[in-house]
Amino acid sequence: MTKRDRTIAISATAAAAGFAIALASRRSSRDVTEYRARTARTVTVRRDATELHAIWRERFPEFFRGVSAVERTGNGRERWSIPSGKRVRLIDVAVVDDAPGERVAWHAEKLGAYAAHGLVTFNPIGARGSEVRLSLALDGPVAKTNAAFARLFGLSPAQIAAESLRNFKALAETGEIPKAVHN
Amino acid sequence: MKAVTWQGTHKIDVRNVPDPKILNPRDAIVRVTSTAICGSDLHFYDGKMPGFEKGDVVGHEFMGDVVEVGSSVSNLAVGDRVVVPFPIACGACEPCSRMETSACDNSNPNAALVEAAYGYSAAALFGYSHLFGGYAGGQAEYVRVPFADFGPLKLETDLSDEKVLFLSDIFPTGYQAAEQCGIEDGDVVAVWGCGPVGQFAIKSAFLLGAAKVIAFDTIGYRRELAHSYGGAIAIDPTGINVVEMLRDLTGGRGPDACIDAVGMEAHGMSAISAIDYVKQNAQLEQDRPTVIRQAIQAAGKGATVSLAGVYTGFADTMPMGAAFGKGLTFKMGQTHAHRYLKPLLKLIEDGKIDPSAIITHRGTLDDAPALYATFHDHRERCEKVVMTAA
Repeated sequence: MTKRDRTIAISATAAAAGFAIALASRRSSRDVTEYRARTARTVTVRRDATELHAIWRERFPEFFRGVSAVERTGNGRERWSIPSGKRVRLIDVAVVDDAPGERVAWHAEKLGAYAAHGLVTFNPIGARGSEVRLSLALDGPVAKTNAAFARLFGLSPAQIAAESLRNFKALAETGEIPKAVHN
Repeated sequence: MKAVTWQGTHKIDVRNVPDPKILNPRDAIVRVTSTAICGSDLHFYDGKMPGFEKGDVVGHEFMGDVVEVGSSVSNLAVGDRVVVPFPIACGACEPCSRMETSACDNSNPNAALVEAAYGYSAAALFGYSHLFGGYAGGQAEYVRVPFADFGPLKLETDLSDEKVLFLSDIFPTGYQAAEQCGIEDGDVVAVWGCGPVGQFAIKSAFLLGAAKVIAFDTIGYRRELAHSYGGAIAIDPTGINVVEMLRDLTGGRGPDACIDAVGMEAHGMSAISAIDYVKQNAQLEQDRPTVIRQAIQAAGKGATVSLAGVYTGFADTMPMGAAFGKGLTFKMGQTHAHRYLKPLLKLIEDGKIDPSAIITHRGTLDDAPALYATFHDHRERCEKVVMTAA
């Protein structure tokens, strides 16, 4: 099977230059039966990895785009509220790895018609804080999974990763997430 | 409340808009007492700054009294008199920890838009487009100040608004432009542009040890001020060879530092400047880099070229061979205004400088449309406009 790249273009409204950023999601060349759309983004946050892990677990709906509430239902399972139009979808999520100061991994069997995977890692880098890397993946034909994701969240997986990490960094460093309104 | 709003190119209107509210724990609301029109406000006035929407409240040079504070603000109290620096900075991220506050990681909620064009986003700014945060500006009766526990300078002085207002932007901006040149005693400094930032760059160059400052501006009254206020040799660049002129005035060495206090809307006289003008209007080139080209050509060996004037896009035909050949250093960027608030206030308190001397026009918020036009058209010897809001 030949490698084929798909590109998710985020149309950036930066009128200054009319640029578009493109992020490539790649089919797995090892797995011919399963397609997986992936995206990953990293930010550096000036906090200790253990503190960052705690903020990730305790304040998730505040910074993660598209998720308005998390209910812990026991045995490492959670139910996420995802507002979609006037409705709120409830999605069952299994936290499959939760290592304080290191990482959190989760898995949603049914995100729309597809399965979704998330992994965040906290990598201490000394005085500069920690590198926080968020990876999101969806199983299924790439075009369809991305479209399903966009329908559900209103954003592409790459945008979800970037904006959620931006919010997370601001919350962890400043205690709040910046908001601007006209006045 | 009453606020000065952007309604389109050369359309500034005073409108009634909702009062600002505390949105985050580190916010404060400031009742504006004085606010100024900045040269960079003319970029959106001319429609050359992207990311503005009709109705946006503009203005980033302002001061006033605190009327409300968020739950996390403990350093300010209602009634405190403050000057607010124009970049919005969190005080907690890595750039802020180095006091590089105009590079704050966290203040711009629309950072993705800037990242698409610039790779990374710098700090948000008050009243300066949705690209830089979409925060309402300070040419209004009230303004919401985010990260108020870090940004505003609390004033415990009897100095008038007019003496301290320019700490919000143009005095630090002129000062940073000079400071980042690493001026040593006896240096000769060339400054392009004798607008407000140029005037403070000239003053600051002398305060930092320059022996001689040579300033350029096409406008006569600005040259007069650069000479009478700043003590500079002020020259009209029209029709002369600036590089040869500077060679003559520096004993053949070239300036030790060249400061561009003009930016992307420079008026050049050469054929290549005419091409820039056409390209800019056709949006093929965003910046008209006449001044940078001259500065690079004129700079002495090992000199610093310091850009205080704003650039937003692309600039063509840069003489990189000359820059490389002379081993020049380039310094540029928005001003890290926060780091200069206290030291520059001290200079004012000690009587080393009186920033209010450059004010030529005064009014109220209601006068904003007329004052924008006067400032833009260089009418009535207009150098700097200050408006009272309360």
